[in-house]
Amino acid sequence: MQPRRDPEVDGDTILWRRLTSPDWIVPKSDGLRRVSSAAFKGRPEEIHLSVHIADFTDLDTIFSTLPWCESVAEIRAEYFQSLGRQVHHTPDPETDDNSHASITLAGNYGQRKKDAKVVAMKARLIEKREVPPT
Amino acid sequence: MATAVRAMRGGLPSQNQWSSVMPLSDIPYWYTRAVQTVMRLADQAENWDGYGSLNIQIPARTRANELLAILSINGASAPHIAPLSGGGLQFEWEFAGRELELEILPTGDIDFLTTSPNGEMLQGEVPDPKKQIPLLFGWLITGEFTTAASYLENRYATSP
Repeated sequence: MQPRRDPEVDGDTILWRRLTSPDWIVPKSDGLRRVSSAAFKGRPEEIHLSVHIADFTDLDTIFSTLPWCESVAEIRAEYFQSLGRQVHHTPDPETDDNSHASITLAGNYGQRKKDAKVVAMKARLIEKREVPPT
Repeated sequence: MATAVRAMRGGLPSQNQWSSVMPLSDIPYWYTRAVQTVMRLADQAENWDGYGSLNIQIPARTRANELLAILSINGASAPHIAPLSGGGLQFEWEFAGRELELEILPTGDIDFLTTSPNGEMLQGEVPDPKKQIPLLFGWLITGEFTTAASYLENRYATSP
Protein backbone atom coordinates (compact mmCIF):
# COMPACT_ATOMS: atom_id res chain seq x y z
CA MET A 1 0.00 0.00 0.00
CA GLN A 2 1.33 3.41 -0.95
CA PRO A 3 1.84 5.84 1.92
CA ARG A 4 -0.55 8.76 1.86
CA ARG A 5 0.96 11.84 0.23
CA ASP A 6 -0.83 15.01 1.14
CA PRO A 7 -0.69 17.68 -1.55
CA GLU A 8 1.45 20.76 -1.03
CA VAL A 9 -0.52 23.98 -1.11
CA ASP A 10 0.05 26.90 -3.45
CA GLY A 11 2.20 29.76 -2.27
CA ASP A 12 -0.61 32.27 -2.32
CA THR A 13 -2.77 30.16 -0.01
CA ILE A 14 -3.86 32.07 3.07
CA LEU A 15 -3.17 30.20 6.30
CA TRP A 16 -4.39 30.89 9.83
CA ARG A 17 -2.34 29.88 12.83
CA ARG A 18 -4.39 29.79 16.04
CA LEU A 19 -2.88 32.03 18.71
CA THR A 20 -3.85 29.80 21.58
CA SER A 21 -1.91 31.89 24.09
CA PRO A 22 -2.77 35.60 24.45
CA ASP A 23 0.88 36.08 25.36
CA TRP A 24 1.79 35.35 21.75
CA ILE A 25 0.52 38.83 20.95
CA VAL A 26 3.05 41.59 21.56
CA PRO A 27 1.93 45.16 22.34
CA LYS A 28 4.03 47.67 20.43
CA SER A 29 5.11 51.10 21.57
CA ASP A 30 2.92 52.72 18.89
CA GLY A 31 -0.18 51.10 20.39
CA LEU A 32 -0.49 48.42 17.72
CA ARG A 33 -0.05 44.72 18.39
CA ARG A 34 1.97 42.14 16.54
CA VAL A 35 2.43 38.38 16.53
CA SER A 36 5.32 36.90 18.49
CA SER A 37 7.64 34.41 16.85
CA ALA A 38 6.75 32.14 19.77
CA ALA A 39 3.57 31.26 17.88
CA PHE A 40 5.54 29.66 15.05
CA LYS A 41 8.20 27.63 16.82
CA GLY A 42 6.18 24.60 17.81
CA ARG A 43 7.47 22.01 20.22
CA PRO A 44 11.21 21.31 19.83
CA GLU A 45 10.60 17.58 19.46
CA GLU A 46 7.75 18.03 16.97
CA ILE A 47 8.49 18.97 13.39
CA HIS A 48 4.97 19.87 12.26
CA LEU A 49 3.04 23.05 12.93
CA SER A 50 -0.74 23.05 12.60
CA VAL A 51 -2.50 25.77 10.61
CA HIS A 52 -5.80 26.14 8.75
CA ILE A 53 -6.40 26.96 5.12
CA ALA A 54 -8.64 30.00 5.16
CA ASP A 55 -10.50 28.99 1.99
CA PHE A 56 -11.81 25.86 3.73
CA THR A 57 -13.04 27.42 6.96
CA ASP A 58 -14.01 30.76 8.47
CA LEU A 59 -13.09 32.75 11.53
CA ASP A 60 -16.35 31.96 13.35
CA THR A 61 -15.50 28.28 13.09
CA ILE A 62 -11.92 28.84 14.21
CA PHE A 63 -13.02 30.89 17.21
CA SER A 64 -15.68 28.40 18.27
CA THR A 65 -13.76 25.12 18.03
CA LEU A 66 -10.83 23.54 19.83
CA PRO A 67 -8.12 24.43 20.51
CA TRP A 68 -9.54 27.69 21.84
CA CYS A 69 -8.18 30.97 20.62
CA GLU A 70 -9.36 34.54 20.30
CA SER A 71 -6.98 35.56 17.57
CA VAL A 72 -5.13 34.11 14.63
CA ALA A 73 -1.98 34.94 12.74
CA GLU A 74 -2.66 35.21 9.04
CA ILE A 75 0.21 34.22 6.81
CA ARG A 76 0.70 33.11 3.23
CA ALA A 77 2.07 29.66 2.53
CA GLU A 78 4.88 31.22 0.52
CA TYR A 79 6.29 32.80 3.68
CA PHE A 80 7.33 29.33 4.83
CA GLN A 81 7.93 27.90 1.36
CA SER A 82 10.41 30.66 0.53
CA LEU A 83 12.39 29.49 3.55
CA GLY A 84 12.50 25.96 2.16
CA ARG A 85 9.67 24.58 4.30
CA GLN A 86 6.77 22.58 2.94
CA VAL A 87 3.10 23.22 3.61
CA HIS A 88 0.75 20.29 3.07
CA HIS A 89 -3.01 20.11 3.11
CA THR A 90 -3.71 17.52 5.80
CA PRO A 91 -7.46 17.24 6.46
CA ASP A 92 -8.22 15.90 9.91
CA PRO A 93 -10.83 13.14 9.68
CA GLU A 94 -11.13 12.87 13.47
CA THR A 95 -12.51 16.37 13.77
CA ASP A 96 -13.95 16.44 10.27
CA ASP A 97 -11.73 19.45 9.63
CA ASN A 98 -10.99 19.81 5.96
CA SER A 99 -9.09 23.04 6.52
CA HIS A 100 -6.22 21.55 8.48
CA ALA A 101 -2.75 21.97 7.02
CA SER A 102 0.67 21.14 8.31
CA ILE A 103 3.91 23.05 7.99
CA THR A 104 7.08 20.98 8.11
CA LEU A 105 9.45 23.03 10.26
CA ALA A 106 13.23 23.01 10.13
CA GLY A 107 14.71 20.07 11.98
CA ASN A 108 17.48 22.30 13.30
CA TYR A 109 15.94 24.28 16.14
CA GLY A 110 18.26 27.24 15.61
CA GLN A 111 17.09 27.55 12.01
CA ARG A 112 13.53 27.09 13.16
CA LYS A 113 13.84 30.12 15.43
CA LYS A 114 15.04 32.26 12.54
CA ASP A 115 12.22 31.00 10.34
CA ALA A 116 9.69 31.76 13.06
CA LYS A 117 10.99 35.30 13.37
CA VAL A 118 10.87 35.91 9.62
CA VAL A 119 7.30 34.66 9.38
CA ALA A 120 6.15 36.51 12.51
CA MET A 121 7.40 39.77 11.05
CA LYS A 122 5.16 39.22 8.02
CA ALA A 123 2.13 37.82 9.85
CA ARG A 124 -1.10 39.78 10.14
CA LEU A 125 -2.88 39.66 13.46
CA ILE A 126 -6.63 39.01 13.33
CA GLU A 127 -8.45 39.29 16.61
CA LYS A 128 -11.91 38.13 17.54
CA ARG A 129 -14.31 41.01 17.70
CA GLU A 130 -16.99 40.63 20.30
CA VAL A 131 -20.28 41.94 19.04
CA PRO A 132 -21.90 43.93 21.84
CA PRO A 133 -25.43 42.74 22.74
CA THR A 134 -28.21 44.89 21.32
CA MET B 1 15.08 50.40 52.53
CA ALA B 2 16.51 47.88 50.22
CA THR B 3 15.58 44.63 48.73
CA ALA B 4 17.83 41.90 47.57
CA VAL B 5 17.78 40.71 44.03
CA ARG B 6 19.19 37.29 43.58
CA ALA B 7 21.24 37.37 40.44
CA MET B 8 22.94 34.85 38.26
CA ARG B 9 25.71 32.86 39.80
CA GLY B 10 26.72 31.15 36.59
CA GLY B 11 27.45 27.50 36.66
CA LEU B 12 29.67 27.67 39.71
CA PRO B 13 28.46 27.37 43.26
CA SER B 14 28.65 30.60 45.20
CA GLN B 15 29.61 31.10 48.79
CA ASN B 16 27.16 33.97 49.08
CA GLN B 17 23.43 33.60 49.28
CA TRP B 18 23.00 36.94 47.51
CA SER B 19 25.29 38.05 44.75
CA SER B 20 23.96 41.57 44.61
CA VAL B 21 21.69 43.93 46.47
CA MET B 22 19.72 46.68 44.83
CA PRO B 23 17.89 49.53 46.52
CA LEU B 24 14.17 49.24 46.11
CA SER B 25 14.09 52.66 44.47
CA ASP B 26 16.40 51.39 41.73
CA ILE B 27 14.22 48.48 40.74
CA PRO B 28 12.54 49.23 37.43
CA TYR B 29 8.77 49.69 37.41
CA TRP B 30 8.24 46.60 35.28
CA TYR B 31 10.14 44.15 37.45
CA THR B 32 7.36 43.05 39.79
CA ARG B 33 4.88 42.68 36.98
CA ALA B 34 7.36 40.63 34.95
CA VAL B 35 7.96 38.28 37.88
CA GLN B 36 4.20 37.88 38.20
CA THR B 37 3.94 37.12 34.49
CA VAL B 38 6.55 34.39 34.76
CA MET B 39 4.66 32.98 37.73
CA ARG B 40 1.36 33.06 35.86
CA LEU B 41 2.79 31.36 32.78
CA ALA B 42 4.65 28.77 34.85
CA ASP B 43 1.45 27.89 36.68
CA GLN B 44 -0.35 26.93 33.48
CA ALA B 45 -1.28 23.28 33.21
CA GLU B 46 0.02 20.93 30.55
CA ASN B 47 -1.57 21.43 27.15
CA TRP B 48 -1.91 25.15 27.85
CA ASP B 49 -1.48 25.78 24.13
CA GLY B 50 -4.08 23.24 23.05
CA TYR B 51 -1.41 21.40 21.07
CA GLY B 52 -0.11 19.16 23.84
CA SER B 53 2.66 21.34 25.23
CA LEU B 54 4.35 20.56 28.50
CA ASN B 55 3.90 23.16 31.19
CA ILE B 56 6.75 25.62 31.70
CA GLN B 57 9.55 23.56 33.13
CA ILE B 58 11.05 24.38 36.52
CA PRO B 59 14.59 25.08 35.19
CA ALA B 60 13.11 27.54 32.69
CA ARG B 61 11.08 29.27 35.39
CA THR B 62 14.09 29.52 37.69
CA ARG B 63 16.31 30.86 34.93
CA ALA B 64 13.63 33.35 33.88
CA ASN B 65 13.59 34.86 37.35
CA GLU B 66 17.38 35.02 37.38
CA LEU B 67 17.31 36.70 34.01
CA LEU B 68 14.79 39.29 35.19
CA ALA B 69 17.13 40.14 38.05
CA ILE B 70 20.05 40.60 35.66
CA LEU B 71 17.94 42.71 33.32
CA SER B 72 16.74 44.94 36.11
CA ILE B 73 20.28 45.52 37.35
CA ASN B 74 21.39 46.45 33.83
CA GLY B 75 18.70 49.03 33.22
CA ALA B 76 16.81 47.02 30.65
CA SER B 77 13.31 47.97 29.60
CA ALA B 78 10.30 45.74 30.17
CA PRO B 79 10.44 42.51 28.19
CA HIS B 80 7.45 40.95 26.55
CA ILE B 81 7.28 37.45 28.00
CA ALA B 82 5.74 34.63 26.00
CA PRO B 83 5.39 30.93 26.74
CA LEU B 84 6.90 28.44 24.31
CA SER B 85 5.37 25.16 23.31
CA GLY B 86 7.61 22.53 24.82
CA GLY B 87 8.02 24.20 28.20
CA GLY B 88 10.27 27.23 27.66
CA LEU B 89 9.84 30.98 27.84
CA GLN B 90 10.75 33.82 25.51
CA PHE B 91 11.66 37.40 26.38
CA GLU B 92 11.55 39.92 23.55
CA TRP B 93 12.16 43.59 22.89
CA GLU B 94 11.88 45.91 19.93
CA PHE B 95 13.65 49.25 19.66
CA ALA B 96 14.33 51.47 16.67
CA GLY B 97 13.75 48.65 14.23
CA ARG B 98 16.03 46.28 16.09
CA GLU B 99 14.67 43.21 17.82
CA LEU B 100 16.13 41.02 20.51
CA GLU B 101 14.77 37.67 21.63
CA LEU B 102 16.05 35.64 24.54
CA GLU B 103 14.74 32.11 24.57
CA ILE B 104 14.87 30.16 27.79
CA LEU B 105 14.82 26.50 26.90
CA PRO B 106 13.04 23.94 29.08
CA THR B 107 16.49 22.96 30.38
CA GLY B 108 17.15 26.50 31.58
CA ASP B 109 19.72 27.23 28.87
CA ILE B 110 19.40 30.60 27.15
CA ASP B 111 19.67 31.39 23.43
CA PHE B 112 19.55 34.80 21.80
CA LEU B 113 18.38 36.02 18.40
CA THR B 114 18.98 39.55 17.19
CA THR B 115 17.28 40.98 14.11
CA SER B 116 18.64 44.16 12.53
CA PRO B 117 16.47 46.61 10.60
CA ASN B 118 17.87 45.15 7.35
CA GLY B 119 16.72 41.67 8.38
CA GLU B 120 20.14 40.34 9.27
CA MET B 121 19.95 37.87 12.11
CA LEU B 122 22.52 36.75 14.62
CA GLN B 123 21.87 33.90 16.97
CA GLY B 124 23.72 31.96 19.58
CA GLU B 125 23.83 30.75 23.11
CA VAL B 126 24.05 32.81 26.27
CA PRO B 127 26.20 30.69 28.54
CA ASP B 128 27.13 33.63 30.79
CA PRO B 129 24.12 35.95 31.04
CA LYS B 130 25.86 38.37 33.40
CA LYS B 131 28.42 39.19 30.72
CA GLN B 132 26.35 38.81 27.58
CA ILE B 133 23.04 40.41 28.51
CA PRO B 134 24.56 43.92 28.81
CA LEU B 135 26.19 43.48 25.40
CA LEU B 136 23.00 42.32 23.77
CA PHE B 137 20.96 45.05 25.37
CA GLY B 138 23.57 47.60 24.40
CA TRP B 139 23.15 46.50 20.81
CA LEU B 140 19.38 46.81 21.06
CA ILE B 141 19.58 50.40 22.31
CA THR B 142 22.47 51.72 20.24
CA GLY B 143 22.69 49.41 17.26
CA GLU B 144 26.40 49.23 17.94
CA PHE B 145 28.05 45.90 18.43
CA THR B 146 31.44 47.49 18.78
CA THR B 147 32.23 45.95 22.08
CA ALA B 148 29.82 43.11 21.67
CA ALA B 149 30.93 42.15 18.18
CA SER B 150 34.38 40.95 18.95
CA TYR B 151 33.03 38.88 21.79
CA LEU B 152 30.11 37.46 19.89
CA GLU B 153 31.56 37.02 16.42
CA ASN B 154 34.25 34.76 17.75
CA ARG B 155 31.58 32.40 18.99
CA TYR B 156 28.54 32.63 16.81
CA ALA B 157 27.68 32.44 13.15
CA THR B 158 25.97 35.23 11.27
CA SER B 159 23.24 34.55 8.76
CA PRO B 160 21.27 36.57 6.25
